[in-house]
Amino acid sequence: MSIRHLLWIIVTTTSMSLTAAPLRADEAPSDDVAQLAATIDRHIAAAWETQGVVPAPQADDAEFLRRTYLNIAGRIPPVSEVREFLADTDPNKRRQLVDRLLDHPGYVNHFAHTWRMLMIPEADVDQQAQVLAPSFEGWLRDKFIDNTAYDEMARELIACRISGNEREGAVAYYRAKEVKPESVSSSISRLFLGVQLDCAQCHNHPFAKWQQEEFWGFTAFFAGIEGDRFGSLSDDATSREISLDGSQTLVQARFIDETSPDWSGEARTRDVLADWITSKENPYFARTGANRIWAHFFGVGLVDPPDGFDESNPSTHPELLDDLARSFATHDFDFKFLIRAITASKTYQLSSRRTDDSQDQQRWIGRMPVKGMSPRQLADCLIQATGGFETSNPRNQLLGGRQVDTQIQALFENQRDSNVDPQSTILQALALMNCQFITQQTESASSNTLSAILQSPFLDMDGKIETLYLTTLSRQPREAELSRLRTYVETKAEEPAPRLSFVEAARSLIQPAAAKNNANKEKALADIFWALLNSSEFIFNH
Amino acid sequence: MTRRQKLRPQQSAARHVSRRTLLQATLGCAASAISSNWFPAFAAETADKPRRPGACILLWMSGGPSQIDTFDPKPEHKNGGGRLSIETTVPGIQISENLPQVAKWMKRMAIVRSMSTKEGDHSRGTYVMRTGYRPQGPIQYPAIGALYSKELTNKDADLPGYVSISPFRGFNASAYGPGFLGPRYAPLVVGNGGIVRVNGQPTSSLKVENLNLPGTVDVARHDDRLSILSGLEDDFSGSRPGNAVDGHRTAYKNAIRMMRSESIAAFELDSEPDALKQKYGLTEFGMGCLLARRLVERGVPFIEVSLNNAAGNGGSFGWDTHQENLGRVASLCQVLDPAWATLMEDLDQRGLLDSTTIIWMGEFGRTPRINSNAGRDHFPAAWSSVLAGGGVKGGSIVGQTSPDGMKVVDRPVNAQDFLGTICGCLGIDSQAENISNVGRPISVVDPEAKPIQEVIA
Repeated sequence: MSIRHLLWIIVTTTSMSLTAAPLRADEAPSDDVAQLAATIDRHIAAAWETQGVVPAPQADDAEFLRRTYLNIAGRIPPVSEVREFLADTDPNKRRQLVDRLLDHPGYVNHFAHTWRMLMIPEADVDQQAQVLAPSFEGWLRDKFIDNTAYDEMARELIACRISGNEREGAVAYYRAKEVKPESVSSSISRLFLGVQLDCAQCHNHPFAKWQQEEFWGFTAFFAGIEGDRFGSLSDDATSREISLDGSQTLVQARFIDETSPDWSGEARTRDVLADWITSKENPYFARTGANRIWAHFFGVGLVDPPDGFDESNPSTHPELLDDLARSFATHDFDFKFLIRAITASKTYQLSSRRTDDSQDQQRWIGRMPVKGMSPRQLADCLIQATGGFETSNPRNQLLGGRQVDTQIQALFENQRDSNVDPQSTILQALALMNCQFITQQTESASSNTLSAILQSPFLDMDGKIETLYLTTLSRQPREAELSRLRTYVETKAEEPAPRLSFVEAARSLIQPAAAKNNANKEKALADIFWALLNSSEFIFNH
Repeated sequence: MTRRQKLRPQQSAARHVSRRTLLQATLGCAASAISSNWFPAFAAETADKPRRPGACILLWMSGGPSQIDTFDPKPEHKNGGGRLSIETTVPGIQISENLPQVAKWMKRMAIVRSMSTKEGDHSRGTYVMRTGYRPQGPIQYPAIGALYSKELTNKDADLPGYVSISPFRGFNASAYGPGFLGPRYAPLVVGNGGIVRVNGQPTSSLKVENLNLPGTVDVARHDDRLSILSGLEDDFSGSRPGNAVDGHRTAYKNAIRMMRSESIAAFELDSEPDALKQKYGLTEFGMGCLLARRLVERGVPFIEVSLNNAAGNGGSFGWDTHQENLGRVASLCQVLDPAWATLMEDLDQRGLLDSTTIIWMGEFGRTPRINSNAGRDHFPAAWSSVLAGGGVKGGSIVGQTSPDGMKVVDRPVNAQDFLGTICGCLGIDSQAENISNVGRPISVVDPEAKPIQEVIA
């Protein structure tokens, strides 16, 4: 089977599995989605009014498709999907795309990974924690496969049973935090309450509302857990007090709103905490969750940073945040409902193109912010665009990773999905220009995508350039781009092949001119492919 | 002749011109691709006229070295493990017999024997000593390499201001990053910091990854590619201006500038005389120290070289000598001693020692008491670090530990005090502020730090 056939099969099967996916019967009624989308737009527009922001125009189909694929499935769409979507005339196609993507395995993988990065950020920088990440991510994957409600997911994590040598699932989270009560409590308070208690761990901070006693009072809920990353664990479920930062002072478990827990009955300490955190009455929980989903799609939270809920860090759109949180809770904390509503809004569907200076203040969302990708997202995009299925490095096979993953993830570890301020490093630029993976994937002899495009008898030169654009930038080239690049290829084709070795030179004497011309054209197309892969437009989510 | 032409001697000037004209005709933006708004002009510079406001070399001892077996020997006490101490060139100051060559440089060194910190865990200890702060949730503190190089960097340099040689980042990778200063201040990492990496040809690993064009792409073709890329970038950044695109352009600009700069000759260790290489020691650390000197010569303000292990140390990691401490420390010192002493000598002979501050430290010290495996365990309560070279009052000792080494009895020094002292030696304003990722200004070193004024020259 030729590479082209292989690629074709992969491309078509992927797209078929997408289009054939049935809509789920248990979806929230679409009018609720539309209603919340309208609410979003109303609040955002009100803020534009007071801030004097002139919004950008709506994104075209290609822009919407790429962005939505990246945000939900974690990678760019295959070429066939781009062509189909652009040709589709159904007025509801954007909503349908979101529905399809929410049933796509990419959604499960991308959201599990995103939440793993939020919950165990240690794994990105600490090799011991890294060992624990796959099993935790597996647990998250199960949650997203089942579309487990956000409150239920939080409850399972907070109240998780800890004992013996258990390492799988939610327990891995506690191990990643070194089973230290103070590490777990500061992580839980940031994750589910949006509150950074950490700074109060050692001393009372002049800027922060939270004081040392509050930190240790909250930490006392985890006083019973004991063990270390890889040893045996124990949990005294009734333990409710802890010594303040190693001192003699004992602090009792209490909530950060200064209410005291009800210990009646035979309540396990962390069950009581989970009840309080996930309660629909908890003012922090729904807001933090809704704000995180918002930040995932816009790169910037209504409260930003999303775990910095603090009186000194107010929401840009407090009423919108309230409405999002209320809807999220009313719909039983269904992630998919919130995602449908956000992506259905006109706000989400704004172009990232700047049409007015007032759009530069990203927090008012006058245009879609340009965001960095997570390292895994970028690796997946490179693999998608190049058709490069990497298993060549035995060391990486041993670690269960693909070579490009390992390389790219190490190089781009500073980037985050929800980062509107991504900054590139020299080593990243060097890798994308010169690394072995990119080199192989931009040479006709070793690149699946490139060789498939070069060998396609049904594509003329314009068609080839067009396909390169579709596979990398998920859009058609503009007329000016096409003519510029067409001329480039033609000019290159005229040139003698540079730097011939003696053997090559000898061969070129007996080679027909057409073949020589063809080789130059292939090189020119490879150059275009290389430049597209190195472009900001490819590297960023916009 | 321009720098660019020098890079491709195989092409005649005539050919060069015709290609350029051709591209100009075809792409319109081709000429600007080379001289343009965001690709650098490749002027020859720097190697022969270094501009040096002062430099810092951090010798980082991964795993936490034993103070007793290095700079705070206890020959009289059983905690000394039977190790002898030797005289240094400063009367009255003795260090461990493991470091005979370093002992000759005591006049240029200040030993701090009263380090006292709170973190006895590799990850947290690494973070504290390399950033000055305990890990605190969302605040991404920068490594001191990023912080100091930002203060010292020459903005026109071809090479980044912070080069990290063979870092082992497994204990805590964020302690090696630029934190809230952003990727612009990220270290240029060379060497992979693998655990065991001592062999006959250690130089091969100390290269910048992906610095060279792949074999199938020559400079002319790379220029062609860049001209296409330049067109794409102009379109995209014109319509979507902002930090993301700016950062991308800056990174490419600096990467290309470095690829085509003569400064990268710093990495060509082969051009050094064999005798000198032998003197440094044919180890990754030894070659790292030699590379550090070459980078200092080319104006790089902050270089760190990690000593991660020595040959024959089995499964033990670096200075984390929980077993067979005495033998393992001795073999690590056989790597450390010649490399460090030669680095001092080499810098001195080139007139660079007075403006280059050298720091020796790890994340914590090790227990004075020897454990049942003949090892020493983690010990942050009383340990040693060393300052040397530029800005340092040599021949001095700061602080003192008890005869058994169990506690500091004079002048305790914490991480902030020590890092503040380095600022003093380097002439950096330790209270210069940066805006953190949570929007709060954070000074290079905590205002409460008490730098050791008596060792700042």
